[in-house]
Amino acid sequence: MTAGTREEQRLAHTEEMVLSMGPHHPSTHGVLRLEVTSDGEVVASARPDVGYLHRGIEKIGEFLDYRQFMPYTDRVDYLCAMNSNHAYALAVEKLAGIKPPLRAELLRVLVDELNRISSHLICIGALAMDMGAYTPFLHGICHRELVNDLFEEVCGARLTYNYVTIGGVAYDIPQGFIAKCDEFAVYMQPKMSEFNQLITANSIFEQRLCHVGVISPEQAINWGLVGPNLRGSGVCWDIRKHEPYSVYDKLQFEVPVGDGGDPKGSNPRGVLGDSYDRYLVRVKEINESVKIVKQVCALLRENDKLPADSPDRQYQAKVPARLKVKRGEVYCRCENPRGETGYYIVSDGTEKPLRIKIRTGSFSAVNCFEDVTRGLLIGDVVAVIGSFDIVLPEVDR
Amino acid sequence: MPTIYDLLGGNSALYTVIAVAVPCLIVTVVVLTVAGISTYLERKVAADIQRRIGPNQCNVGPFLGEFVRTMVRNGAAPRATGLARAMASAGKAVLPPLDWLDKVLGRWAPGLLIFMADGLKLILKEDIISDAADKRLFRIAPYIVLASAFGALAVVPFSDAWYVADFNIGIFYVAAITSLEVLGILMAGWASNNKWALLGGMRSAAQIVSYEVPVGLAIATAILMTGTMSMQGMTCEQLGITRDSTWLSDGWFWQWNIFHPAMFILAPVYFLAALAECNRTPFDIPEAESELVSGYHVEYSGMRFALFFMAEYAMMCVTSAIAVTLFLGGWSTGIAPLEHLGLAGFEVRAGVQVPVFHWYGTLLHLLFFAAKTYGLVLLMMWIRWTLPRFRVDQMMALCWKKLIPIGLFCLLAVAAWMILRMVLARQIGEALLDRITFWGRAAFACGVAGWLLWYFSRPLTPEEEAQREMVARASVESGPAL
Amino acid sequence: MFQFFQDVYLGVKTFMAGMKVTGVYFKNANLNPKETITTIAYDGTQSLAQGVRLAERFRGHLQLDAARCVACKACMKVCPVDAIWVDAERTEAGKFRVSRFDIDQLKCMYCGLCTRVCPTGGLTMGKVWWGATFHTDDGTNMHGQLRRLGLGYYTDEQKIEIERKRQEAAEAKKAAAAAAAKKKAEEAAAQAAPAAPPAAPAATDKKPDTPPAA
Repeated sequence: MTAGTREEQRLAHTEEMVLSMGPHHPSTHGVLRLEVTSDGEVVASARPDVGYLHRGIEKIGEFLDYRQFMPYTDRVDYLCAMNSNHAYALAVEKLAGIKPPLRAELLRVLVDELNRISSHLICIGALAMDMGAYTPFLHGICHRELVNDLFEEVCGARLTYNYVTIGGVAYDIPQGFIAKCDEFAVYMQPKMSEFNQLITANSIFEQRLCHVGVISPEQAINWGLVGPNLRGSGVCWDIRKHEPYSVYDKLQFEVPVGDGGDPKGSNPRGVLGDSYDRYLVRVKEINESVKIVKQVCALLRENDKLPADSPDRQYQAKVPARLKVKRGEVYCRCENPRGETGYYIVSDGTEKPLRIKIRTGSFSAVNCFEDVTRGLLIGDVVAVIGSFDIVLPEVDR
Repeated sequence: MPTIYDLLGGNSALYTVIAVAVPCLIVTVVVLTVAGISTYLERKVAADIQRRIGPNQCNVGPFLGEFVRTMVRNGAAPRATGLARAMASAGKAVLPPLDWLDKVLGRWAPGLLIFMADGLKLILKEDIISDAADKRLFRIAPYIVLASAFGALAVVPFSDAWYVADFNIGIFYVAAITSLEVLGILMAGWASNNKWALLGGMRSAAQIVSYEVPVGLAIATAILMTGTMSMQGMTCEQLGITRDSTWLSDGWFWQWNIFHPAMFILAPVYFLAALAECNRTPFDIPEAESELVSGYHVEYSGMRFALFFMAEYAMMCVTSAIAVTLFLGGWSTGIAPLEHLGLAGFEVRAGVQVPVFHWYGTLLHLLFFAAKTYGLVLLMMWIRWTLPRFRVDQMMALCWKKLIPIGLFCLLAVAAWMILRMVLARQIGEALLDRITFWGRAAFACGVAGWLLWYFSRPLTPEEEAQREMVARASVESGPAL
Repeated sequence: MFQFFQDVYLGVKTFMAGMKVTGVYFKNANLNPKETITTIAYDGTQSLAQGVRLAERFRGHLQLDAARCVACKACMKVCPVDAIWVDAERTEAGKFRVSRFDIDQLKCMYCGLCTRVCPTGGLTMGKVWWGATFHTDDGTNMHGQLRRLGLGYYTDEQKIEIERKRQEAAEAKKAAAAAAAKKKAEEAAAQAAPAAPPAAPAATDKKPDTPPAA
């Protein structure tokens, strides 16, 4: 291209444009705002601007006692509220030296894994919806409604459960619940095959996600990614397996890890650490969770046979009404669907904590956004947001 | 009986005007209504696939029926005016068919009238044009898009005797007039004075212009095969009925263009290109994602937006009609005895023998044409709710790197076949060759139909397969039910 | 070259597979709608008659069985959002009885903690989940409807006022007790040492008058 006259050069001057993607967003992942500077199609920088959903949950925790704060942990990440409850309960129990009985642990794991299934269904459904396929999301919602029905039976709520308490769980499961969980597990597996046939195997979907947002294992560790984002980059790290809590050490399940580029793997046309890998990890985790649900149901049936007053058959440990926790601090982490959710609690010996700090997986994912999306097309930015499974309540708290 | 010409007192100018205007009006109104109902059907099909109810307001029975019943009640009031009483009696006449429609449609009745409510709402909306927009271009753009979509309807043969015009270069005219859509889109993108609209408009223009090439290749191949550019001529060619045909010899569905192997590959290519022309998923980048705003029609509101919207659905109907004419035999029923039942004779038009049908034959042809066209429109909707969308560069790559080479290959294949046919005809004679191709195509068509039936009746997932096996084994073991 | 055919083959294969899934769902929705369609058409009445099935433990609006309430105020203390206000009074028999039980529906987050700590089981969560209407009869906003549901409320200002008065009363009582104790101590001291000389007034330093700055 010849440089024309000065006038022509002035007229041909191009600028990068600044676009504000959000906080009102078609790809509904919450109120995330991205300041995208792009040269037409190609993104030069996509800087996240968070805080639109900040509710001061950590500050609120300083004015409530440990039992009262539990409903707030539901709202930290409402898509996997049971897991958030569990993480907080673990932290307080460690600090107070409370050990929940076996039945409570089994029930906690059961609802954790059911919630993992429903949370992942939302994530992969939303990713498919961002890519233009509206049907898989609604199918996922239909399956998720069955999980919500189960939760409604056990604790009365469909989204913010407040079921896990400090020392156990709030209610015992009703009659016939284990049979229903088994039924759900049997229902879910063929539905995932259908889901995969509809969207996972689709070559357009694969093309949209392969080679997009590639994160190498070293980068993933450096940026502090956790959960499926980390495992999608090939790093095998799952707190349920490597630092087991509750009854996870008694359960058999595998930890799916991304294997992009491997011709014999499940992502032969991609590369390790791309969006398709992260998506596939979540799909496989649903199957693993179904396995765990079946195992826990079997264990619960065994537990049912114990006499009613045996200590293992209780669903709540004896915890005083005004729980005074000794001075100290604790950091306890738990494998949420979005990665590691950790509660760092500083206690000054009273019944209200001095400070609660919540570490969430989506926050780390948002943090590495700018580096990952440099040089991608704007359509790819949407794919990357979806594959990170960012939920803003977790990021902003 | 006096003809319309006589009634007009022999005024040939007026007669020409009416002879042109009336069919155009009829076709436009019918296609617009069909486009309106398509918006409802799209949502209903989506809801069924996604296990939801779908639109459920503005029902025929409850909504319109309530309205009519209120009118009837008002007319029965003691001091009703004459007008109210007249409206009440009109309402009483209209109620039974409404209730019957509600009953017959069953679960497809709710929401049927939403398209009328939508139309009314859009007309009543405020007409907003941004201050810095190029007002003249902004106003003209929707009409150009609409005109190009509807212009193609002028040559579409709805039945053997019912069409607006029969050009001898019909299909060429269609390709030309649908290209004008690009002008309207570029105008809309530019005149909106919105950089996202401009980018969306340019992307959409690039998409449509690129996908014109596979469309053109498909058209060229069809012209090669049928030997004529006239749409009516193509249909008659695919119909295959001549003076020497018997009741079972010509007029079958496997004589349609699509069951020629090269055209069988080209038909999906054309269909994909048609999807891209209509901006439908998987090519709906201009509509849905385009920088996360609505693309080139982001600044349009109210009736202007409705015109774009209607143009899209009309374009769906038009491209389906063209696909039906090119590949699926146009208005022919595909069942030879039915054709011969309605056959009235032959006529010479422009030096060619064309079959002429009784009125019931023509009506049957119209129904089959409508069914085939709307079947393709439903297929477009089915595809929309199944597939994700392409990224811009992937969409362009698909067109230029996949569809065009395949189209060119098929064009060459058909040309080669025509030469081969000539050579073979000289060797073994025309009649024998005809019989061989006839039965070859029949085998191919039945094979395709059989494969489709088998494919769609296979179990969906391995688990379902296991379940079916279990059920089959159980019924074998336990013996027939007593 | 091989890549081209592989791409085309995969594209067609996955396309057909996807179409089959959606086709099967469409067929099931029409042949077997009762089991396939998972939504209910909302009839605008906000009732259970639409076929909504609620679990037994469903956490709807709070309900109080006033006969069972012993006014222990446990629910008021455990509520994380201070949605409950209980006023108690003594009966003739000497027991406590609830005189006012306000639940602020605008604050309640349906966590159910109050129902868990209620010792008598008088506070439960019912099956009513709705609170929205198209319009209110008395022209007021949702608070009017809350009154109609039988749930009154103290406004936040009223609650702060009550708390302030209670604290003032407590402080006044404490001050009176302290004053009485001081008086008693003084009397005791006066009895012990009646002839203590009065303390000399402390010398006060007076600042020299500084002229205003020029």
